[in-house]
Amino acid sequence: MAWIKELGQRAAAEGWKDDFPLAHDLPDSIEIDCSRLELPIHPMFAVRLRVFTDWHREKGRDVLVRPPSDPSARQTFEGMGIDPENAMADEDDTIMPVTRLNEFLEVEEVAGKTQQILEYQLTDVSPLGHAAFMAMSELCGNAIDHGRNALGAYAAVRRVTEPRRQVSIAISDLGMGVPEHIRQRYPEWSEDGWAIAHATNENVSGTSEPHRGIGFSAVIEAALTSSLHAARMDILSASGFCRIQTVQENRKTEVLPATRFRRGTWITYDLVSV
Amino acid sequence: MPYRYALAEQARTLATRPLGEELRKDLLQKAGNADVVELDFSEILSTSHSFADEFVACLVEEVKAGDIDIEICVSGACRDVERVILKALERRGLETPVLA
Repeated sequence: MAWIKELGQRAAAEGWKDDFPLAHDLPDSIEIDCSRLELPIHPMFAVRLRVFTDWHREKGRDVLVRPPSDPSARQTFEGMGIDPENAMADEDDTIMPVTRLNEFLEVEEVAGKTQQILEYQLTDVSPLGHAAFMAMSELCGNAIDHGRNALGAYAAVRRVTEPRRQVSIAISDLGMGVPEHIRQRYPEWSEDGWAIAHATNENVSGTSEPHRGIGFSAVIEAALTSSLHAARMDILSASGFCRIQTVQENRKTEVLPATRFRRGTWITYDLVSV
Repeated sequence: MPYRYALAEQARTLATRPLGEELRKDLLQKAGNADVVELDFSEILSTSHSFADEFVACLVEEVKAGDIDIEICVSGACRDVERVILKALERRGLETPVLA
C-alpha cells in the first residue's frame, strides 16, 4: 500500500507548510501529488520536497512526484530540480535550482552563481547581490562544515522583482543541528530555540577553535551594512525555531516554539531591496 | 624581491574557509623567498568573512607571530571586499597591512 500525499494549490507559496516526514516506517511506495499546485514556489518548499525524495529513494523506496498540471507552475517546478528524475534545464535566470552540495568547491560555485542571478539584467542591486553572496557563502559553508551527513547539504534561490526586488534563499542539511553543535561548548544552553539564537552571535561556536563562529553574524551584518529595506532569516533545527529580522538597520531576534522536531538545520533567508 | 598574488586568477568570488586555506598555502609556496607579498584583489566581486579570515587574517597573524618573514600588502580591493578584509583583521586584533 502506498503512502500518498496530495498538496493544495498554495502548498508551495511559503516554505514551511505541510510535512514531508523523513521516517523509517513509511511504506516502500510513496506518492507526492503536486498536480493542483500553483505558483509561487518558495525555494524552501523545493528544498524540503527534494530532500524528502532523495532521502527515501536512497532508502530504496519508490517515490513518485506528480508535477503540477498548471503549465507555468510545472515549468518552474521542473526548472527548480525538485524531482531530479524529471528536472529540466530551464532558461529562467531568476532561479537557482535545488543544488546538492557535498564539498566546498560546490559552495564556491553556488555563491558566485547567486550573485550572478541577482546582478544579471538588474541594475542597482549590488547591495542585494553582496548580502545574498555572503549568506550563501557562510550558511552553505556551515552546512558543509558542521552538517556532515550522507546526503550532503541543499540550497536553492529565487529572485523576484515585483513588487520589490527580493531574493529568497533556502539552505538545509541533515547533520547534527545547530543546538547539538553549539552545546558541545555550551552544554548549559539546553533550550533549542535559545541555543540557536546564541549561535547567531559573533564568536559563538561549537568548535574549540578561536576566531570561529562568525558565519551567522557576518550574514546579518551584511544585511545591515547593505542598506536593504528588510531581511528575515528563519532557522529551524531540532526543536528550536529562531527568527532574525533586520529592518532599517535594526536587528530583532525572536525565539518561537517549533511545531515539530526537525532533523538537521533548515534556513530560509529573504532579502528585500530598497 | 616583491611577489604579486592575483586572486582573480583563481575565481571572481571567494566564498569559503577551505578555499582560503588552500590559497594561503598556494601563495606561500609560490612566493618563495619574496620579502614583500602583494595580495591583489583586483576584479574580485565579493569575498566572505570566512574566506578573508582564513586567507588574509591568518596570513597576517603568521607574519606577526614571526612564523613567516614577509611584508604583506593588499591591493585592488573594491569597497565591499576591503570592508570584509578590514573586519577580518579587526576580529583578530591585527593591524591593517598596507592597502595599496
